[in-house]
Amino acid sequence: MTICRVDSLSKHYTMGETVKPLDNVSFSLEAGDFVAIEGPSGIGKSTLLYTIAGLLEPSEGRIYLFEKDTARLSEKEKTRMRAEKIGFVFQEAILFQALTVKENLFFPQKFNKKKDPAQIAYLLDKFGLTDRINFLPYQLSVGQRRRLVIARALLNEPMLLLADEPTNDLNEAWIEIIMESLADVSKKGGAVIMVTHNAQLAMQAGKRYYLQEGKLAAIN
Amino acid sequence: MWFLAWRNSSRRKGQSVLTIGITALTIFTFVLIIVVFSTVQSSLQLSTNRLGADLIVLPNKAEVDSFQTVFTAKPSNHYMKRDLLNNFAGIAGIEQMTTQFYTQTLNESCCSVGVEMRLVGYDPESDFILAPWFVTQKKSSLADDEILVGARVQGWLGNRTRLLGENFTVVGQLGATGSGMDETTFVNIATARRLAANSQYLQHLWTENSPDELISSVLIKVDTKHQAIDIAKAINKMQLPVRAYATGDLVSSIRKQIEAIQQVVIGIWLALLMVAALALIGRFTALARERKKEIGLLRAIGGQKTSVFGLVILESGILAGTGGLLGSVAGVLAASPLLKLLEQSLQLPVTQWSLSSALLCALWGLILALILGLASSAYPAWRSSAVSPQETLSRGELD
Repeated sequence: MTICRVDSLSKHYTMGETVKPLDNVSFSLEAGDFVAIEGPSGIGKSTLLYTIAGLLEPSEGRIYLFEKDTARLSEKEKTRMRAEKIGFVFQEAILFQALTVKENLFFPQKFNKKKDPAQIAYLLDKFGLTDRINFLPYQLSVGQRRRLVIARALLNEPMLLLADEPTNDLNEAWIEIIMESLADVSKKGGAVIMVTHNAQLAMQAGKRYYLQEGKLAAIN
Repeated sequence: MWFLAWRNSSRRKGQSVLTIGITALTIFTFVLIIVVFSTVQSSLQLSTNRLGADLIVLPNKAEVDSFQTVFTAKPSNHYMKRDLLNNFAGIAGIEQMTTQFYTQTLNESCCSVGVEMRLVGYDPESDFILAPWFVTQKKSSLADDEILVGARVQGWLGNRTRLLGENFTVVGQLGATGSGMDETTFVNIATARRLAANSQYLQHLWTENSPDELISSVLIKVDTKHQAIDIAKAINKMQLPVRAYATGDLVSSIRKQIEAIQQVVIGIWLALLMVAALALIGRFTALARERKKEIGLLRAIGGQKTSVFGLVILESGILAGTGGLLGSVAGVLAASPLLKLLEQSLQLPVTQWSLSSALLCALWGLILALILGLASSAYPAWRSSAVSPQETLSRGELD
């Protein structure tokens, strides 16, 4: 099953001058794929993830998610798809500041048909947050916050995981656990796109691409 | 969304307290204003309705204050000759007419009341003011050693008391009227004259005429075919040493003064409301801006535009509702002492402040707070829901 197909995708912004972070980008992800997208900072890797997730409209080209043309989906349908099938790890560890660790995991389930307290307990334990469940985000370390947002992205057992620099702020031991978790998504029949500027981590992915000057090139 | 809105409101205490404070202050002033003005207005209306007389005729002397005479129980030792009454006999439209004789209690050993207050002698032959009470009590009149007290004269029923050196039995208490009657003690007119004549403290009042030759006021009820104001004019044209006042007119002139003050106060309050609304718009806009990334996150994890709109509206509802509730309660609690102060300082008649009135005012306060909160947050809520998730998350960031 093709989980994501990006067809001749371009994105440009006009901010004084026209910037074109994505220029005729094409690639596809099948079930079980784990793709790493590399490239220097500020080149447009995050823009690619936002556009795939439907958080940003493409300037040109098409994106097919789960064999559906996203251009033909309403805003509501795209939002529902994100809630039910897509996990997103943002580059910045964004959390609901007024919710505790546990609540930050429970709350997204309101938008999802899957309601699984056991899965929450499992992820809290896996990411070393069990003893922090009643802490508010500001009471957590940077690394703990990062682990929490990854737990949140994995909570609905996504078919497509979009991870933007998921190992930022983490030590070696936690990086290993996180990479294993991402790989698990693809092993279970999902697909993962990981954006990173760390070549060593990228090597753990099955496919590697390099983004530069808007062009996406496969790395062999 | 309720869950997130509640957590945001209860856990972001600093921000919430400020918003609640602005709303509470606005609603507090609103409740106080409606309590004070509605109570004073209804008191004036009640006074007109329950006074029983359409006209009051008083001596035309500089020291006679018609408003004070009608609406307070302060001693009013002013007199006119009782034979002046004969002049009114031929005036058309007078349905009933009675006289009263005013004297007073004293802050002396002669009186167990301990304060100076008006003691009114009513004329059992012609009275129509106290008559309804006598009908319900199946009593014809007050005996020489009996008194009847107004609604706000406390703790006398069933007791014996001493007034101007004589002992009396309290035989009943009148219903509230919102007028000076409520704090007045009534005796029959013969007793009032006897007490006044015998009191060593009041002898200076009887140098020209004895109390038996005097009255303090004439109360007139006008028939349905005539206007009180026309009869007052007819009496005033007679060139007698008296002045007639239509009680409704007396009330309406006070009402006009109060309405003028009311307009100024409401104008000031509207300005305060505008300032509060602007402050709240600022608060809710800042609140939405500070949480831009969270709002983007909400959209990214599956929240619809309506969820974002609902979140901001709900949060403002919680904060404004809490502020409204606090402001209303504080306003209601502060209303009673304020009304008492007004009553004492301005000598305005004030009716009892009932629980139902308090609840109604509090309810209005709460409704206004919610309207204020919702109106102030509608634009920030719309802006937050309309902005694209990517913009809220990274504001155009390319990587």
